[in-house]
Amino acid sequence: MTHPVLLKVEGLTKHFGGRPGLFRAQRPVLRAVDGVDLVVHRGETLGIVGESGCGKSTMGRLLVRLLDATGGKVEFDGVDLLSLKGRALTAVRRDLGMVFQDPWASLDGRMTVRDIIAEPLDIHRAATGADRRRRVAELLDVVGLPASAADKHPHQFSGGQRQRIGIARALSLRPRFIVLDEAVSALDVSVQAQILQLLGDLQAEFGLTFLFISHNLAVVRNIADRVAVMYLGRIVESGPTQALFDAPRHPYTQALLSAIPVPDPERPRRRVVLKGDVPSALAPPAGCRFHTRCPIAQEICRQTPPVVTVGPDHTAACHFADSPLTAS
Amino acid sequence: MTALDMAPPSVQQAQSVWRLRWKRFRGHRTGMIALGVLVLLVLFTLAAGPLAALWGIDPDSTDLLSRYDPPSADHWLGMDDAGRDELLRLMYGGQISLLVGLVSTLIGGVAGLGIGLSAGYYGGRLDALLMRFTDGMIALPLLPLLIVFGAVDLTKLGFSSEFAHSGAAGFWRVVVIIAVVDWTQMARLVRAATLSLKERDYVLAAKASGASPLYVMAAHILPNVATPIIVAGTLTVGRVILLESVLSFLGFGIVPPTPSWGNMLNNAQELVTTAPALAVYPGLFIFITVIAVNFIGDGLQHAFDPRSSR
Repeated sequence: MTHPVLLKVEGLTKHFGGRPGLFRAQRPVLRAVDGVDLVVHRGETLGIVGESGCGKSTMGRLLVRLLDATGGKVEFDGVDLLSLKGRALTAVRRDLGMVFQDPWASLDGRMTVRDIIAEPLDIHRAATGADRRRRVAELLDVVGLPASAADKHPHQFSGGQRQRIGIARALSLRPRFIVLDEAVSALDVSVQAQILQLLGDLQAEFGLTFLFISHNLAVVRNIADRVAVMYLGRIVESGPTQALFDAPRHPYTQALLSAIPVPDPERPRRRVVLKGDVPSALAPPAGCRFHTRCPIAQEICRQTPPVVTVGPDHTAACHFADSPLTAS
Repeated sequence: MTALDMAPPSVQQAQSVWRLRWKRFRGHRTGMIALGVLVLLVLFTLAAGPLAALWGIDPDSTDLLSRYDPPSADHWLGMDDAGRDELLRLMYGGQISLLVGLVSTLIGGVAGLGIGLSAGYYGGRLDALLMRFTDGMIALPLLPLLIVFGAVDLTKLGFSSEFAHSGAAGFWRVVVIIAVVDWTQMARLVRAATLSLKERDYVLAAKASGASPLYVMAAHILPNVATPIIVAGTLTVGRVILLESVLSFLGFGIVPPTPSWGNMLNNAQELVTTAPALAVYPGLFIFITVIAVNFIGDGLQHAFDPRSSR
């Protein structure tokens, strides 16, 4: 990827709980995101995959400043995103968009589609009157909905159409970076394909940069240029989609990939089955976080956190990323 | 996007949410009957002025010679213990009682709404503070509190003694007392609803675009808590009318000779053996009002809940 860097994340951390309140007891610290390093290049789609509860949604919310990070650094187009406050933060929000998972929950049923799509414009006082109407009509056209949709209410649309409305809203301020949090997971498979197609078209047309969060590896393989795999609040492996899917270096990635159903019963498969459950983020294991479930764990894994092994564009946080043990 | 997954235009005709709700409310028979009854009650009390002028009767003038007169052509419901026209006093009293019910509900509702919204939305310390205050209010025993509030000397608060002894002072005293003790339910209701609403994705979407807390509350939270607020409000009206009669019963409500259903009922307690009708009339009106408002609340609940059938 030769494009310039748009978003650079270093040591991003989000801990929940902890501090006791006036009428609240001390709660254990939940390490939802615990030291994430990432780079997103301009115009690319970075896929984030991982099991439920691995912190991928929390990370997405940190990057659009819906949550305040506990620590770390995020540089967006040269600006220190996490330190922004007040007007400067409001201004940078124009460049950030978000699309949510559930198209039934993400649109206020009491508003018309016009008001929903124009909401970011209203908040930033970016367009009023005829200009506002024109912008809404344009956005509806861009996402493939008829202009007549503007005066209807969300309940009059199907799931796919509602997700198009959500995308139009995210696009209304012409952002450069959009976080798509499980944006197609709630949709039928056939509708998923349409929405993915639409996202690809929009990216090409407007030069958008996507962070595509999903638990669905097949979808990520389809849309992402690069993929990062998350486990217990950390990135365990990242690399170009093709390389990562063809030759995963981290045993967790190998296990995830081997779990993808293959629609060919004749094809020989080697399943890597993980034992046990994901450890609690309240008390993550010492050493390598994955050692409790890792099929190749050694003594060193229980004691020392692995250093990220850097290939040309491919990283894997495993002591044995280069050893023949992990070769698939 | 193909034309296939678009519903036919007729189905998509935008029907305003409020028209839809009115339609659903009309389908709720007891709610509609109750609404009719309440409208009749309001018309009945509003007829007091014109009728008094027409008949040439002063509802406050006493006539000791005609105490407890039975119903007659001139005085349809007879005379009360001071020789005043019972029917006219019921009508005037209704104006006060219904007004107290509506105004106190409104003031207490707005206070509860503000407290519940800020506690639920901002959370944290403010929430803890406001909700412990609310719990405290709920924990206070009602009756001693009412007596204390009722005994407050308005002249000491800087009001003129002329105002302090007027009927208006009695009315506002009742309204304020009731609003002060009756906002807690609304506050807890609104807080609970706000807590769940503020986590909705559409609220997050607005925040991600940079919406201020005030914008989110006005654009998303308020319209979505409107349903429980309206329903709880109707239920409060009935309770407040009863509370006013309790206050009047304690002697702190509307000051005689201004009638209210509450103080008429209170006044008739000691006469219940000599003139039972004087207790029955105001009691009946309070009863009908409370029942009607409760059924309207039922109807509204039905109208606002798209999942309810029938």
